Order: sequence, then structure tokens, then C-alpha cells
Amino acid sequence: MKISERTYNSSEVIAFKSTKEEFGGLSNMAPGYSIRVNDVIIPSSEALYQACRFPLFPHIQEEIINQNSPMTAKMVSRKYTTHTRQDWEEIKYAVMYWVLKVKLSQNFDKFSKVLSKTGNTPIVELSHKDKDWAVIADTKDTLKGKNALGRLLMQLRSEFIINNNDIECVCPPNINGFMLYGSEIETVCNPETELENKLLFDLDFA
Amino acid sequence: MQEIAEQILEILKDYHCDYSNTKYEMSAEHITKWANQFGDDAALVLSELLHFLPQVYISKSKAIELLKQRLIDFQNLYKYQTMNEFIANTHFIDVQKEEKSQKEILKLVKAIIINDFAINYDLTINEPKKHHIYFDDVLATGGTIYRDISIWLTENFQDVVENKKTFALSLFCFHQLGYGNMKWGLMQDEGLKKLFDTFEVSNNIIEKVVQTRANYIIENQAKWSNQRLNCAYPLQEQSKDVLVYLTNFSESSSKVQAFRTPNTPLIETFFTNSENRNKLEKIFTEKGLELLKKVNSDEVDFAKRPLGYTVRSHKTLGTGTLFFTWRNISNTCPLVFWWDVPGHHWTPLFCLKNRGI
Repeated sequence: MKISERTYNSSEVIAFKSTKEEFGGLSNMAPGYSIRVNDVIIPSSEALYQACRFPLFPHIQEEIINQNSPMTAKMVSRKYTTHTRQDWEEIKYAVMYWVLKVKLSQNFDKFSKVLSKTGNTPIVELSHKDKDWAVIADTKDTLKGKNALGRLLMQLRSEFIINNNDIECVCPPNINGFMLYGSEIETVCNPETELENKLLFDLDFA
Repeated sequence: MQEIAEQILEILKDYHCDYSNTKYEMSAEHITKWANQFGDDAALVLSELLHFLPQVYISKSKAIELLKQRLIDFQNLYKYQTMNEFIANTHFIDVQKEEKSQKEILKLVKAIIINDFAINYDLTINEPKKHHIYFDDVLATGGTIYRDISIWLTENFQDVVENKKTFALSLFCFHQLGYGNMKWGLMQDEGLKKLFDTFEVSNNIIEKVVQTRANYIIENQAKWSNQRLNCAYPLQEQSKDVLVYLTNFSESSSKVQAFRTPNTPLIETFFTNSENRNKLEKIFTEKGLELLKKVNSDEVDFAKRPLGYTVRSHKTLGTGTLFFTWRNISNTCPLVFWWDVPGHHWTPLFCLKNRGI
């Protein structure tokens, strides 16, 4: 997946930066969007994305996931940059898209509401310096950057909100060695259905 | 074998000590009789049992010691200078039915408070309390505790958010898989989710609110490479009978592994060695299946499995709990330990007491 730089007119986009703003839920740092993959409860989509960099190092993944704050999770990940899987730059956008799909599948009511509210307007993440995942101010009226996260969010919106495709369960991307805590990552599903179908536990014993 | 049986007796001697109607008195003869039902494998079964039992049997005196320490830990957690002040502000949740473990543990807790701290808990029972503690012995699949915590949190959510009330869970033991399911269940509970929205808090609040303290963890999360697998969790190399039996259960999307991954645990810390682990798990599975097959019923009881009760939707051979207390045996332990059905010609090691409904 290759993404090239673009210029956006700042008055024609929905921009997010802080998680506390109206569209803060679009950020991977947003609280309240817990995820569970391979039975591991992960407090934010940022932590899941960062953990995916280190498939051969379960202890690093655990350290990242155990952080309460997504920002700290990212900082822990930075400590171990040299342990990043070698093909990370080639796969990172595919990994992020999968992370976003999981976030939507497991937090459908809340996340779909924020995505729906963006209508058809371009989504951008604002940053001071990150021109890869986000955009930075270019001129007084324009923003410039690859805006990878914003574009993946627009792809997600188009696929599952506008076109209303089913996102009950999400398969892992076709990436070799896509592992968490030592096991291949499996398909993840909407937890409400898991509870309804008593896939976690029965309520009459033990 | 006699010597090993006597050493095992030394550990198990107080089993059912509070229960006058126990059907089998624990004795070296009883232990040997149980072991002999495994035929040529009797010596292996006993020596492995003796190896892991000291880690996983909670005698009544041990329980008293652990509960006393737990009370002190909570007193420190909530920063009270004296036990008196702590107890005056603490409520012990008492919601389980008469025959269940919570009632019996609470009796012990109250006795400890009187004997060791000279405090009568019942005198302050009607006072408003800040700290609420849910005692239980073992969390296995997590269903019961999920239900009880979900009810309590729903009724007290505002007070919890405003820090007027706290909640703690005290256990002797929890299973990693069941504990995770319980926590995830609370984070995704329909009623609680509405409260998270109303009070504008993230569902991660569950991590902070439910303060859990446990003395022992059964690491049975087979998908994680760091687990001790200190339970019965067999490999796929099983008899045809066992594999055919598993086909009774449909593949569910819960994806709990039926078998442990080969070469796990990475280091054997529970059984004497990995070879004996493989043998013993196989013996317990096959014998358990043999017992299940004696049930005269056309309908399969989906909860009942060779290695102990489990969640009906899970396609596994059972929970495989290897953790025991003096008061009763859990039905999530392998059937060989507790199966006692007239006409089935099987003497259990641990006599079964009514668990209630």
C-alpha cells in the first residue's frame, strides 16, 4: 500500500488532534475504545498498532499493552525500535487499516457514530511535524501531508458506514508472522455477539 | 505407593473437616484405592499428584492465614491506620446462595476478625460503608463473578465514579482465561456501557475499579506463549475415542484451543517433567471420558467434559482445574477426582458435597 502526499484546504476538512474534541474518537489515542485480540484486552488502538511491530517479542508487546495511556504505549514502543519487524514500512498501512477495522467491529455503536458524523468530508489528523500519518500547516489556508490515518479512516467510512458492509468479524491481514503473544492473530468479532451467544461463559455455574 | 499415599494424606488430611457427612474419609487406604483404579499408571498418578499438590491445595489453616493477610493487605490498600477503622468502613458482599463458597469464606473472615482483631463485624453491618469486598475461593470460567459484579456495579456506579464506594475481589485462585473473559464481559456489558456513556468514563474504568487480589493464578491461556499451563491441558495426540468425542461440539467463534500447542509450556514448572505431564493429561482425559460414557442418557450434557465442567460453547475437553481447597472440590476439576455416581464403579479422591444450584 503506497500513499502519496496531498494538499487539503483547511476550511474543507474535518480535522482532529486532541482526543477531547468533537472528533477525538477518530484518534488512535482516544480512550474508551478497548479492543480484544487473541484474548488480550488492549486499552487503545494505538497500543495494538504498536504491539504489531514486534511479533517475535511477546514481552515487548506485553509491556506496550500494559501501559494505561496510549502515549506511554507509543513511548515504550520507541524504546525498542531496533526490534521492529523488517518489513514494517511495507506493511504498516495494512496493519493500521486492520487495527481500525477491529476498533470499529468491537466498538461499533460509538465509533460508527463519530465516523457517520464526518459525512462525506475529508478527514485529516493535524500534527506539528508528522507528514506521514497526519498533515501539517502548509500555508495559512492549506494543510499538507500524506494524511495516512485520515485516508484510512475515510476508506473505513466508505466501506462500512456509507456502503454498510458487514463488520461483525474481522480477519487478520494477509501478512506472514502476524502474531500476538506468540500465536498467529485470529479473526476477531463483535463482543456483543460473543456475550449474546455465551461464547465467554455460561451464567449458571462455575 | 503406600509411602506416597501417606505423604499425600499429610497434605489432604483436613479435606471436608467441616463436613460430618463426608462419604469417604481421607486416608492412605482411600488414596491408594483411588490410585489403583488407574491400573499400571497408579504409581505415576500418585507421584505426580504429590509433586504438584503442595502448590495447589488450600487447607483450612492455610485459608485462615491467607485471609488474615488479605485483610491486612486491604487495610493497607485503603490506607487505614487500624483494622478497626478499616472494618468499620467495609462491607463484605454476601450474595451467593447457602451452599456456595462465599458464605463459608465469609464465616472464616468474620471469625478471623473476632479472634485476631477483637472486632465484631456484625455490629457495624448496617452502617454506611465505603469499601465493598467480594470474597470467593476460585474464579474458573468467570460467569458467576461476572454476573455478581455486573449487578453490584450497576447499582453503585455513580458512587464508584464519585469515589464514594470502592470494590475489591478477593480470591484464592483465578484462571487466566476466565478472568479475562469476566473483565471483558464487564467492559462490554450492555447495562454498564450505558452507564459508561452517562458518566462519560471509558470502559477501561473496569481495570481500575475491580481491585483483584489472588493467591494463585492458573495460567490456562493457551494462546499466549508465556503461560505455565499449571492445569490439565492435553496435546492433540489423543486416542481416536477422545477425538471422536470432541466432534460432539461445534466449532464456535470463541476459539478456545482444545489442545495445548506442542512444546508448551516452554519450561515445565508444574509437573515433574513434560513427559509425565503428557502421560498424566492423557490418563485423566481417557479415564474421564470412560466415566462420561457410563452416563445413561441420549442427551449430551455440554457442560460436562472429561477434564471438568466448562463453558458449553467451548470445544475443549474441559477446564482441567488442578486446584483444591479443604471445603469442596470444584466441578471444573477433571472428573477422575470427583466423579461419584452409583453403578459407575468409580471411587473419587475427593468426596463431593452438594454445591447448591
